[in-house]
Amino acid sequence: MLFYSYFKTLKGKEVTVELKNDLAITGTMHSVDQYLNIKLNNTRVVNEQKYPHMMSVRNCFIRGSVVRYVQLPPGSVDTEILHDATRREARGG
Amino acid sequence: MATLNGGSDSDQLFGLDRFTAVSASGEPQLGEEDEELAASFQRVVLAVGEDSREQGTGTLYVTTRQIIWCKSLAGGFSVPFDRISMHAVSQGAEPVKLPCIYAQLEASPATDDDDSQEGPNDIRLIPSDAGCLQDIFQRMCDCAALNPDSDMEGDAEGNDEFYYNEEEVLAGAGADDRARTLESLDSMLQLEDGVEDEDEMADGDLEAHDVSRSAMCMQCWFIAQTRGYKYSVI
Repeated sequence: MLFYSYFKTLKGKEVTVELKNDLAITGTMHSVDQYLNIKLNNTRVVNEQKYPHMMSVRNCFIRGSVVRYVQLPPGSVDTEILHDATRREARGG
Repeated sequence: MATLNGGSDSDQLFGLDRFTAVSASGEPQLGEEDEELAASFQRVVLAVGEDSREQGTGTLYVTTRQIIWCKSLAGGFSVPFDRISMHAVSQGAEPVKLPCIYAQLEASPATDDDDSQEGPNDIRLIPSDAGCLQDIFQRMCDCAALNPDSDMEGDAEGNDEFYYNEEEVLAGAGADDRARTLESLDSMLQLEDGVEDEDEMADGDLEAHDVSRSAMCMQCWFIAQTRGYKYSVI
């Protein structure tokens, strides 16, 4: 549950989700669930020339199991939050 | 390439399955495994492939297991949620200029070794009433969340003990325990770089929170490996 807890703290932040089929989508994290399904708003495709049909997509739902990478905004990687999350998880909370 | 996929005798069309279980009243017959109809939307055009070949106007059914598009009593197409990689609201762009639901599908396992299809399996669902796009999108989100991959079930619990000895983490492990734990984690990691660092950790000058941190890293790494995810910081 650690990733789930952590990703929840990224709501409203901009992330880039790269799918296993190489499609990479940047957008605002709208929501994430326990299966790491990710909903993005205000999306744009990193490689628009390769995926022109994605240019008109503004929000999307990405299945957790097809995610290869999630690129995080450096300013949102709070090691203290991660640390606390780890402790909570270790306590079974 | 595209012409290979449009044959009417094929069981697959861009990742979609043929769907023929239609009752006399035109309703799709759902499977038995707690499948329920979540919503249906009339007058929806299905288009498939990069060139968006239209398959006609039909009714879209969103169930708790799959989406089904039927154009007549003869049936139509369906795809289970666990093969929908992503879906999105498109405001209209080439080749379909109308607002639509755009989805990428995984190929059915039955056609995994069929290399006649290249690139993603694109489908588009174009409702005549664009006002229901958000509703379709949300229903698909809700129902997709009900269908996690089977190998991810139970991940939320039960695995913790394997990675953590809770008391060790909270109280600080003895040097022997730490060394043993790190050794076992090392063997899982098969580190090439950073082995020296791990050895230093085993030498035993760690604070409890460092053990906690290393356990977290190990778990992150392991979850990432088992799920095939990788996470990076840009």
